[in-house]
Amino acid sequence: MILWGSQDTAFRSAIVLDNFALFFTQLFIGVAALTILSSIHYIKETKIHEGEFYALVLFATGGMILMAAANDLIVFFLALETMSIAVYVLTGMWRASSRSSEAAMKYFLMGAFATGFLLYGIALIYGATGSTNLNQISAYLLEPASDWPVYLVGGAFLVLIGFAFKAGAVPFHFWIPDVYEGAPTPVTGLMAVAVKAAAFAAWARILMHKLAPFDSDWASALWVLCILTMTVGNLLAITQSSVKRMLAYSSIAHAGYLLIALVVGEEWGGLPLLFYLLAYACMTAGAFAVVTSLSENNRTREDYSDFAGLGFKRPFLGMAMSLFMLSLAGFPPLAGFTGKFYIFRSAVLSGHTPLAIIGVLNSLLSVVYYLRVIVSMYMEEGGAGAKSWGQSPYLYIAIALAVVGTVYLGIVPAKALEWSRISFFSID
Amino acid sequence: MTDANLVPLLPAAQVWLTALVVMLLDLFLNEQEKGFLAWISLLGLALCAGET
Repeated sequence: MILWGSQDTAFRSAIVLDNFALFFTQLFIGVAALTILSSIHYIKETKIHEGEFYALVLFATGGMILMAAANDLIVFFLALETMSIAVYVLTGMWRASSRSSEAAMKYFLMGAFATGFLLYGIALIYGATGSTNLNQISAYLLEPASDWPVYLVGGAFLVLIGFAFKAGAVPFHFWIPDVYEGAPTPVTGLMAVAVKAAAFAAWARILMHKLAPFDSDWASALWVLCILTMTVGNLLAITQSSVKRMLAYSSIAHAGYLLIALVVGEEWGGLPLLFYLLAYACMTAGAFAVVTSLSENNRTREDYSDFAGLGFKRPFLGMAMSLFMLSLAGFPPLAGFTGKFYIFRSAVLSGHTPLAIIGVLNSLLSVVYYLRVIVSMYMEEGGAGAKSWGQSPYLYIAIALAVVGTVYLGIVPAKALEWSRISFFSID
Repeated sequence: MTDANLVPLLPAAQVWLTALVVMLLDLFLNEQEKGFLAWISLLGLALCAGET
């Protein structure tokens, strides 16, 4: 807590240390710790090289921390690449699995494609404003919009596309299901939570705050992106037979809910965005930890049928997974409900009521596939053998921590809301 | 003129330093001892969390 409350800059304001950056630092550290705890047993079984695995998780975490602190487009790009390259390698680290290698190759190619958009966008913005520093760019944007070169808006749109790609927004989401499914499950948890949170952290600082004058230009594009992301994510999640793949589509749908906060702007959307990311981190990291616990002897057990009877064979895992599913669906009094409540409330208060209605309808739609997991666990028989399922105490600690977070943020959200508010409004 | 204030880089640098320590130790530990690396990683993260 030494650095909390600092307002410092380095390298000519290219990196900033404020409560916003520290909020995300804590979030990334928490998710990385849960990933490591849930991997200890898993990587021994899958014969993934331990030293490289942990080092890459840490390199990726460092990249995410720098992304949240970046106040210059070049520093942001370097941080993004530091994170992305480590995650590409982590995705393909399960060498015995051809799905893992395929996922790594797909992720690398699609990631490189997104990087291209982002870099062209940065180049155009630099060409128009003469700087990559966000303070100087926002100072330039105070000039009347009629004085802006045409390619400046084009550059901003390319950066928006790059962000949408990393956040997994529709129609830039095609890589997510295959990559999430093929990657080692603890890495999928890291990608679904921390990589997405890092993209939204940078999105909030760069697009929502520093490039806010573009709001009128991309408002309608963000609306379409938001509605498509929620709806397509939920509709495709319903049709899945694999829980891991369902969680991948669910993460797309949740990116849609988070986009509502970006659509409503920084005045109303800042606090709900940060709080929702916190809630989403607990419930999604926990859900992936439960999926990890079902892996055995180099085999993954990810289908709904593998969850049959889990609630009776492993009561703790069944209870935890039920809580995560109910929270993701938005049932009170869990974290997902509180997060969605504040997101939809911000939409209504800022005059985007139709968006809130579409969000609520989508949330209802999601109940179908989240409850299906609970039905499998408690109302079906069969599934995988109970004796040899993951017994790692560290994995259970990770799941227990996620359960505590999910329940705490739902029942006593006041402190986390205040933390989110202070953090968001520390952006200068 | 260079701004030499490195404090804003501290959280990220600390996590990267832990990663380097893990990679270095990985060279000297045998297979049975490699589980120790998870705890080194968690220690580095905990120190960074305490600081931020």
